[in-house]
Amino acid sequence: MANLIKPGEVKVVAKNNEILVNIALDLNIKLDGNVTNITLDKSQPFAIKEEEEDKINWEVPNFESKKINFGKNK
Amino acid sequence: MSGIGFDAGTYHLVSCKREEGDLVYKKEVNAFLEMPLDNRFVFNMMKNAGVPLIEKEDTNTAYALGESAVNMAYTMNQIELKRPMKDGCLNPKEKDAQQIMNVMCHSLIGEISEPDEKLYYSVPANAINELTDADYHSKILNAMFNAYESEKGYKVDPHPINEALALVYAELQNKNWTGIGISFGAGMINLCYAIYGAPVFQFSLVNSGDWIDRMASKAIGEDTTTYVNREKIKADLTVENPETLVQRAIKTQYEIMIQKTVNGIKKGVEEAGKKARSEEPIDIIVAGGTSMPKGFDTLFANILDLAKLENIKIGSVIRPDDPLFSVARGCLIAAENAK
Repeated sequence: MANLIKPGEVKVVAKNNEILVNIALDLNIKLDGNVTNITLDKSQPFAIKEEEEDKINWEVPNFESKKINFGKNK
Repeated sequence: MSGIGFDAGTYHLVSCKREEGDLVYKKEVNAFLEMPLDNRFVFNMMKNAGVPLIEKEDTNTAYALGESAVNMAYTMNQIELKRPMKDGCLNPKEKDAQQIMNVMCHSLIGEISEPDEKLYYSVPANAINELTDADYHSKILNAMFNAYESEKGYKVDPHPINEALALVYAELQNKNWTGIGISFGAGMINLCYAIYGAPVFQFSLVNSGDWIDRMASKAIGEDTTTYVNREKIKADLTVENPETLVQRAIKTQYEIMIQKTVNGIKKGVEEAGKKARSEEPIDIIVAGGTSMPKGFDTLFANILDLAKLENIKIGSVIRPDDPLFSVARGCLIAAENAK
């Protein structure tokens, strides 16, 4: 019989308009196939790190007028 | 009438002006190489050889720009080109690249003859098959063009225009600006169906020239895309069974890309319903750097024919004589008629 997992111990993160759900469970299964215990593992906090490549600076930079000899005429 | 047209493409940057009635284009490749400035001798040799260079003293870095950078990357296979744009839009992670592109854009505009000259620059529609940010892209380009100043202190007045609509302006004047323009760029395919110059539907797809390079490179086991990019220019899409592995890989990817575009047209026509109806057959203009290989228009027409579109009669599939310059010309027409 599965134990009730308390709400609030599941972490939900919105990312790129998608919902990411992380659930960590400890399952104890007997050799006869019966599940004896299911618990939420609280020993390790959820570490959902933003990937390096996801860090985007959306600022509009300052540009200066600068010209060099560049470009070929058709 | 004066004005400037600017095609800000993922691979090509093209400016277009009218001088004494003639169209004048200036083109370059939107790419660069980054090198440490340790070896002054090499830097000076490159400078003397006419390689466009930017020096950044605070980081002791030099940048070789444009086609020269592509040629250097081709001979030195371990160097991958840097590209300010990806999938049709400016890459927000490449702040330095945006500064380099700013110099490239200002240089291609050159000098202007009057203050606040209208400048129309091409922008894509947001892609329907991947998350893109065309608004951010347009804002950055606007900031770049707003920063422009001529030697006399003249500024430009920049405005965005959809890349595929610019194609309709450039090529469908004799059809009352009614038809479908499709720009096959390096990063994106941009499509616009316009009636009397007003868009009925427009969209973009992210799988275009760079995608062909990536997929074909993967198929033949190349680590970088430079080799396939070169081979793509030589491709002959009229050949049913290309002899070499690389040409077979390129043709296959072209077929997939065109099929996806045709599916997009079919969906667009279905969704537009009555708005898409036209009494006359609709011509389709195909342009952009990825449409350059021989037989591209024929291959497109064949695949389109098999799709059997309903509610719309298709006329001819036309590739302009200068498919790399059409968008810039359309931007100029928009600028000239904006007053």
